[in-house]
Amino acid sequence: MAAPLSRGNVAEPGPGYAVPGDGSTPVPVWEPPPSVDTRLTGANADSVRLALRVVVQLDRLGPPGPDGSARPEATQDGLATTLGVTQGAVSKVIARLIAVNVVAQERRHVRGRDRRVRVYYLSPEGEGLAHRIEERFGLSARTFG
Amino acid sequence: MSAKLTGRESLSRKVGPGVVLALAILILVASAGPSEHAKLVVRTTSNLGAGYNGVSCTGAGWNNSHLSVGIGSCQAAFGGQYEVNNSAIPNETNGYNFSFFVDWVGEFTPSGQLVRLASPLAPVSGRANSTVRGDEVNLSMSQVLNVTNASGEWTPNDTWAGRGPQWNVSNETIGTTVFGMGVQLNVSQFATANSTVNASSSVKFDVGLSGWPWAAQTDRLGFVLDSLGAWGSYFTFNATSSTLADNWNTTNRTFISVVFGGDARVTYPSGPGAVANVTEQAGLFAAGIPNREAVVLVAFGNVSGNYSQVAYDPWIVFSLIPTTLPSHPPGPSFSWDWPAVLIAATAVLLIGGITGQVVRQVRLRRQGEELVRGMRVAIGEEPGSTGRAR
Repeated sequence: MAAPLSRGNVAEPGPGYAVPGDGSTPVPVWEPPPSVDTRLTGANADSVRLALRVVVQLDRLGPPGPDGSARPEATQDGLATTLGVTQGAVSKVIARLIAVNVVAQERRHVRGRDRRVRVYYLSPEGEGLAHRIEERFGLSARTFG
Repeated sequence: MSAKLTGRESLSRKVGPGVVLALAILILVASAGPSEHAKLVVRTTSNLGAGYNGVSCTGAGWNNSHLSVGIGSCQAAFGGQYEVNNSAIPNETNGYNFSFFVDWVGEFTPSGQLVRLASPLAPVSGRANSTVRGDEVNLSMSQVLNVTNASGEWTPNDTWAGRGPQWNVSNETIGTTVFGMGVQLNVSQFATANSTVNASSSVKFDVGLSGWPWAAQTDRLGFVLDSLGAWGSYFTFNATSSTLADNWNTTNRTFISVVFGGDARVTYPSGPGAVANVTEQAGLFAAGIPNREAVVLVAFGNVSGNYSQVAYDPWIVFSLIPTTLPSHPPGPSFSWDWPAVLIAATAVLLIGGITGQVVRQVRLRRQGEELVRGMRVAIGEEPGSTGRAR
């Protein structure tokens, strides 16, 4: 995982930052720059664009903690809220990324939920892909937003 | 088995205001459309039962221009009206009307003494539903009933649930039970082009009970089915050991025959089920000429009590003559061998589910590979487009 993007690296929320409803440390949201759009020419471009954001966001969130808990932003609806897209869109992309071992899932307790819910995190393959995305776009904590 | 003819009472007193209202709605709905065939107009209502003694009940109904049927949870009843001779409804001469009520369910000792009672007239809660699949109409309702202590003995002269207070019914609730009733009919068999009702017209209805708080394992459960044919219809009950026939039939009047199955399925909490013998006691009497009403106590015996569920499926057959058919007469396509159907359906679901999962995984993997390739294109690792649409 890229060090600049690790959890808790952002101190203050600002423009472009998603503020989770439970008051935990906000997680910045990354949007692929316009230069990426020139490469996303296929009909699958929207899904790819969302997949890039999901991978970066999950890398930003990190894996579930050793205490068994996980951040609510790592759930489907949490990702959808954070990324400003529908849960259906996130669900579709997540399912495809799971099928190719980019994303892994577990049932964990999250704050504000009575029952355990599915949370998502990057597999080692996914972390590798996230590193390359971040290197390609020069992502750091300061560049978010 | 006994068959007695007793006195007459008014319709409203006998069936209660809820059912009268339900029937009125049925008649109103049935009279609304023009007389056309093969045109199914589904109109459901959520409040057919309308209520009884201040209890709000739910119901469901269905009708086309010839046939109207409904089920009301408060009265645990279903009724209907259908047309013969291609005449408009309502018409007391040509229109036919029927209604069936479950007045109460009870637990009996081996000697026939009532010990516990639950009345669908006062449900704790209830819901009803109607679905249409092709020519098949399914109406169902389910209600939660309070079970109380009671004492007494049922006789065919006991006409309806108003008899309840005479059984020393306790105000204390022993527990609750879930009572369900379902009606299935093939509407195409009712809408004949002209003249008479199709000889094979039949309605399958199911009665089910679960979660009964038993007083003793040696007891048995039973329910009272109250059937009323109004506005000129005639009917006969055909029990397993004898036939109760109303001889006041005239030419081309339609008999409504209730065909009682000889067994019912019971299920025990421990798992395996058993087949219970069905016994009936019936009374047949006029409920205001030319109406006829029959009250039948259907009991499930010959098995140990304490069963958690009982399911029973009698039939109602419409014909020009009193009809005696086997417990499962040929009729609508929903006359299935349920165990075989369940096994086959389970196998199909398993095979289909496994196959579906495999297909879904293959598709997801292909789509995932396209996504990853698209991401590599986006970050310059691969040339080309980001893939095709999904």
